[in-house]
Amino acid sequence: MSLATAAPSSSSDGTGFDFPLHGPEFSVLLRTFYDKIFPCQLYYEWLNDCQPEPTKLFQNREFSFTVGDDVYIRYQSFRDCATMKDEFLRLCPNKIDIGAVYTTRPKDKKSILPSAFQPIERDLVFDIDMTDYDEIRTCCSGGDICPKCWKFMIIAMKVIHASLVEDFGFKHILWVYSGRRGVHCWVSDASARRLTNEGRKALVGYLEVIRGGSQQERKVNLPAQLHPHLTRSFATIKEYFSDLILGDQDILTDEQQWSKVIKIIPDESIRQQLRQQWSDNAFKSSQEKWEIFDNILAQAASQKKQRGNYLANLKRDIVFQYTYPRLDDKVTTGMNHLLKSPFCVHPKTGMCFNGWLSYVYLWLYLKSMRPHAKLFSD
Amino acid sequence: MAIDRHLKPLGPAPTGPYQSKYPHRLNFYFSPPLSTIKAEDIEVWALERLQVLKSIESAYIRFKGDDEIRQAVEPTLSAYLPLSSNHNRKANLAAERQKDHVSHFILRLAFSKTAESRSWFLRYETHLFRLRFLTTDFNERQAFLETLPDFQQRVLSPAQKEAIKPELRAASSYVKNFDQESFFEVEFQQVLDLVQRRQVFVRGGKAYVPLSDQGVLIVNEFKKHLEKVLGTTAKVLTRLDDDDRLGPILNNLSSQQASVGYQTKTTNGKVGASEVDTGIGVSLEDAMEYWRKAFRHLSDDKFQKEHAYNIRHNYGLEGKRTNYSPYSCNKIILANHPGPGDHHGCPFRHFSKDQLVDSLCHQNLAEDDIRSIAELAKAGHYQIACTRHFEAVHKNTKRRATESTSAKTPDTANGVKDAGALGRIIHPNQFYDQSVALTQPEAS
Repeated sequence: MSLATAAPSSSSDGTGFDFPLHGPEFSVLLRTFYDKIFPCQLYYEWLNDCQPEPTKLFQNREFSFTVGDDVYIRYQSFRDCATMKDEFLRLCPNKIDIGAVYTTRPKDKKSILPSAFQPIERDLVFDIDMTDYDEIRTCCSGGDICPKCWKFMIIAMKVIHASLVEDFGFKHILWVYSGRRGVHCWVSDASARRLTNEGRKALVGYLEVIRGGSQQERKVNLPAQLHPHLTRSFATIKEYFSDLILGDQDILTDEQQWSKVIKIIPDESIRQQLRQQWSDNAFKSSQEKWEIFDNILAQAASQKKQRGNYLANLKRDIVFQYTYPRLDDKVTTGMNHLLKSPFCVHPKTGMCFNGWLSYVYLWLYLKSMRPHAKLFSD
Repeated sequence: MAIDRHLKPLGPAPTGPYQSKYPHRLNFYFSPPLSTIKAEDIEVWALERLQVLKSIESAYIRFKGDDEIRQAVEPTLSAYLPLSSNHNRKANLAAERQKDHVSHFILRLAFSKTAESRSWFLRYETHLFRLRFLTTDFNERQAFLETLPDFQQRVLSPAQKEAIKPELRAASSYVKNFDQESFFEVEFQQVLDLVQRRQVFVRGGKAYVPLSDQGVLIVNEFKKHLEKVLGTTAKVLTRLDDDDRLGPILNNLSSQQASVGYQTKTTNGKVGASEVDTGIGVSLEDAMEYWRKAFRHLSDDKFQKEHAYNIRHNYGLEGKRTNYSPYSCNKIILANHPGPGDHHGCPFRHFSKDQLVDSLCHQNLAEDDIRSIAELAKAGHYQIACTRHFEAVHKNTKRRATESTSAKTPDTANGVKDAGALGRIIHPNQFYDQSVALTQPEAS
């Protein structure tokens, strides 16, 4: 998981470049980008399941472009790699989205019956977006992201990657930085591509732990006996909890922050003790306050033996709530949902870190699939 | 089937007693009935099966456990569609099973027209099959399973089981006799609902299912098969259009299901409740103003970006340009749960208890009412809690409410049972419509 350490470095101000992100100058830059930098051949091979001749997987795949002043063009498709590149150069899209593989070429959509035009395959994708962490992170909010937040992404990638590989046996997994505030995961195994919407939903349910909207404080309620996937994940996230959550995020620093944690606890007597003791020790670090919480739980457990397990689970669930990955499930479950393509420039930040980063990873990734193929011509 | 004037039977009609035609209580409905059936029977049988499916639907809304659901459905089932076991000497097994067989196929035809009716039929037929599977005794079940094609199960050898024992035990903690239980290996796609609930051990794409849990597998097989054939039926249905005897029956049947006037359409807007506005006739401008106030903690820019588009979308001014009708309670409670950062949902389902009590207090309700509402919500009776809430809010005008909406009043002692299908709030707009009806003068 070496990619996880490559956090974007200059994103705290939202834009990494000082040139305008629209207008004629930008179009020239975009054109150069698609001409010289965008890895068309690799991109084509990735979408074409590494076959040299264009297959239906590529030809019936939907592409969508955002061009100029937010004009959105859906249902584009290409015969082969060359026509795709020509079209990129002609339109210079600000953004490219990838959709599903359909029964026929998406370009012909208007000329056929709607019932004959159905999505049949799509990569299994996961979208992890920093905005879903807003209620637990204290360093930034909204679209901002800093190296501290990036650790959340590292945890998410570790946990989900491990499950996809070990539990579900997927091999062709590509992680890319989305260009702004999160990461995307593309799983391209044939069995993953052919998952029904229900199958995707089941996978999300399997991976998802944090449930409930803004009106529910306790979002994690796990049984005493953890499923092996959660036991493994807990071992991973536990390592980060102290450093990231108590250290970097400092979630118990002042009353406004720690009251969020207190609200999660259902037991009124523990709530009161915590409120009391944390206010008395307001100057102490989050780690020390967490120890206070530990002691209170231990005390409560010794008074009522049968509640020992329940209290230990409570603490464990809080660790889950603050550290476990948060998925944007709508992107994963809908077969025909579009997702921003790897390599293209993010229209809001002008960054294509994902391009540079994943350029290398896609190369390694394809190489691992076809060890002897010559992938680069220049 | 009886319509031999138009459709030729697909094969030679079977001879001999029905006993040999229907050896099992359970049926996967692989092949259509081939015998001649009276047209009147067709309609009556199909309507009766529809009654059963509807009662299953309402039982699933109101109850949680299998036992409760079974008890709720039992009266309707034994009245309209009894299906006795092979041990039952008194029952006319052949007639019961033939009726089950025929009515299934008629409803399959009636409900294959639209995607919505297909998915409704699929859901409740699967539930029906599941209920029956659970009530079939072990030997009969096994005998039935042996007749199923392609149902391959790979049972783990003791050594294989030993190798993954700790994980297997942790994932199958609900299995009572773990040491005696045998497990079998299937593709994880075959047991998606076990996967979704994390109740099965998965490794390398294979799921390890306890033998006692085979019900899930069989039910899934049933569902998969039915889904497939419903799609096929939809394609050939047009050929039936010119049949002047079956056509009207089918149309009548499929319209029976949509008896509730509040139709549902789907979209996933972050502001689910704003669709309710379109349903109660709030103009776009008013809706914008209301939602601007509701989200007053946001900056204007953020509001415009995140919510204004959704509201305009719901009113059909953006994107697909469809004027969406609002979600029903059922849909809000069962699907599309709010995630972190979302604000939609049913207050009785998606609020924590404290939040719910809090917001009820703001409405100046009586202590007693608040307590009973919160308890109903906690027990999972969300819609009954909502109905209680409606009554509590309109206490003074309640008598008229009962008259105008035929809403029964569930008293708290045995409230759950009393709130029959008619009395429950089943759609947010119904709550609104009934409230308006109450506050307006009787003349209008």
